[in-house]
Amino acid sequence: MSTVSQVAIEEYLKRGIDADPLVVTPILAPKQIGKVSIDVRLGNQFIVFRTHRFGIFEPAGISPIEPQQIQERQVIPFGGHVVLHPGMLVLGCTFEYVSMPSDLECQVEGRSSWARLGLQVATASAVEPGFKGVITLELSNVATVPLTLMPGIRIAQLVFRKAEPPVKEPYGESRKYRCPIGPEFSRLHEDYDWKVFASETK
Amino acid sequence: MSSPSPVFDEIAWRDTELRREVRRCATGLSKLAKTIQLTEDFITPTPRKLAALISETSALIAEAVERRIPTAELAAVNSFLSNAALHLRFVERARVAQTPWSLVQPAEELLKLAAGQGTHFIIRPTWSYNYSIRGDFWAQYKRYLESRKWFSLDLVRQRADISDTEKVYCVSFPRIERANALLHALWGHEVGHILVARWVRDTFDTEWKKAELEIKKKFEASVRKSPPPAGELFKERAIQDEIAKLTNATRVVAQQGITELLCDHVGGHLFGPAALAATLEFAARFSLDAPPESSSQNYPPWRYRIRQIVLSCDADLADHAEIGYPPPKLKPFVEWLREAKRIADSKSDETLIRNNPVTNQAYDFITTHWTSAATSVIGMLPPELSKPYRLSERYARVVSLIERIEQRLPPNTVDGYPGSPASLQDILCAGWAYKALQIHGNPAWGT
Repeated sequence: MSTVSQVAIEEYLKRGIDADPLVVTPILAPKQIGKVSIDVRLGNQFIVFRTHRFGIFEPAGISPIEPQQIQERQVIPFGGHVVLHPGMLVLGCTFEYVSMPSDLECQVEGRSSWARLGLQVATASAVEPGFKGVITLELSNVATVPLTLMPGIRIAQLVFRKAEPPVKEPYGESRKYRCPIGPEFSRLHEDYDWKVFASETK
Repeated sequence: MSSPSPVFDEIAWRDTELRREVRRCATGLSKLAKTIQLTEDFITPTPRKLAALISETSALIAEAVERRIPTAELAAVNSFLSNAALHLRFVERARVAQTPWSLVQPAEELLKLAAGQGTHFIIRPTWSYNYSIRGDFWAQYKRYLESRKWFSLDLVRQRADISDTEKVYCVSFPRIERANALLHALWGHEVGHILVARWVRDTFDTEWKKAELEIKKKFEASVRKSPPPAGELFKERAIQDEIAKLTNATRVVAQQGITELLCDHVGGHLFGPAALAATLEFAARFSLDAPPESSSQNYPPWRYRIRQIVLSCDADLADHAEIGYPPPKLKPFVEWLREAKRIADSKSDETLIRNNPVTNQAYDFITTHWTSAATSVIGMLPPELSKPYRLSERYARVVSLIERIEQRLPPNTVDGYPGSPASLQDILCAGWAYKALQIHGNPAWGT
């Protein structure tokens, strides 16, 4: 499985809408397309923790607490900023909406300039063929100094690899995160095997 | 022996009490406005601008209360503060989470372009099922404060960073329709109010004065035929009173009627079929033939309004076989809009209007002045918006946006990669057309 280079990325982007294209929109500056990746920007929606409300969250649904009760959505206007304190996790998202063709998968990777300051952008970094939506970024600051992040900055890069042969049933309607337009709350409780764990624990 | 108690001076008592209360209210309002300005999240700077204006104005009033405000003015200053406090609700409700925030920025840009640079809009939800516009708040404050010798407007301008060319309005939308972006095409009507108010101020009075004598004569003829009951001594007075009452009522109906219709015309001009579709969907929940009367704020019947918007969108409702319009993806939308034509074909609203002497005269006035008024109001728009939005001229772009929605892609760019940004008007039209396509296949879609 080889990494897709700039020429091939642009060919995917230029495919007609009915020809299973790669869509990354909007690309505000052509420079975002690098030799083997596309830089993506930070969107303006975030999910932050409300740590003062609950003591414990058990994702299997053993406790009645839903993710929405321990986390809340925030929208930061463009021109504003969010401060990521050391040890803090915030869910952000890409500014760009992405639509993956059935023969490409991609990895969300940090940019080294940010990594050197202690920013991690994604831990669950694989984006499957057929996925559509903005990509949720798990932003955390592993340094000791707070970081100021502004919506619109280039924060991560997408590195594409061929999926060979193309997947038969691309990421579709039946999946957990369908066409998100902002960061998504965790849906761990929808995993098929959580039901088993939950019943065992009860 | 105790000394006699001093004579109670009620005027002095009121002065002391009221001065203390006004100072407390002004200080409290200033702090509250400042807190909202600093702590709440807004998607545009406008809500903060109004909060700063209220905060700085009331802070300056608080400073003036002790020595400079005359006793006789204290009650009026208190009313002014109460009124400004009411305006804070517009700011508070414009918080990000309460608004369709992704639409607010582009919508405010378009509204600013239409109403003139220096005009700012707060967009906020209201619990009543209505779209409306309020303001200009800055003009209201200036009107009251500029003649007060104890107050410095210059300091407000400086501290709140606002100039005399700026205006601040609030556009409201129904809270339950927050996420219904398509219905917000009705914001075009609301911005129309700013332009139409200028026309009313500059032209309506003059035109009314020209027409008034003739209208009075018509009323006189009918009133003399069946005069109001009165003794012989007061008969003439009663007749003149009745004529004046009917003439005044006609003026109110005419002014309100032409205002609303012109605003609809501006909405239709800016958003084309999207404005017509939004009006149809909104109007469906009301009686289409409710005549103009004071209980309905003298609004024109919905059928009459729909008819006028149909006229401004007529070119988009027709077939243009030579250019293949409407293409298959737009056909259900255009067909749906043609229902508006069928609604407009019925003249049941006209019958009601013509059966009442007041509305009859008022709508005669509106009909006579319609063309020149509509031309004049559209002429107030900047050159970029002087041409009406025509779906039949932009359908290729709109169809490409519909195809993006069908592929679950945002309808934000046209012409493939890298493409160019789609206009708000094209996006709204594409959204409506996509909705019509879906409803065509499944009438329960979206419910």
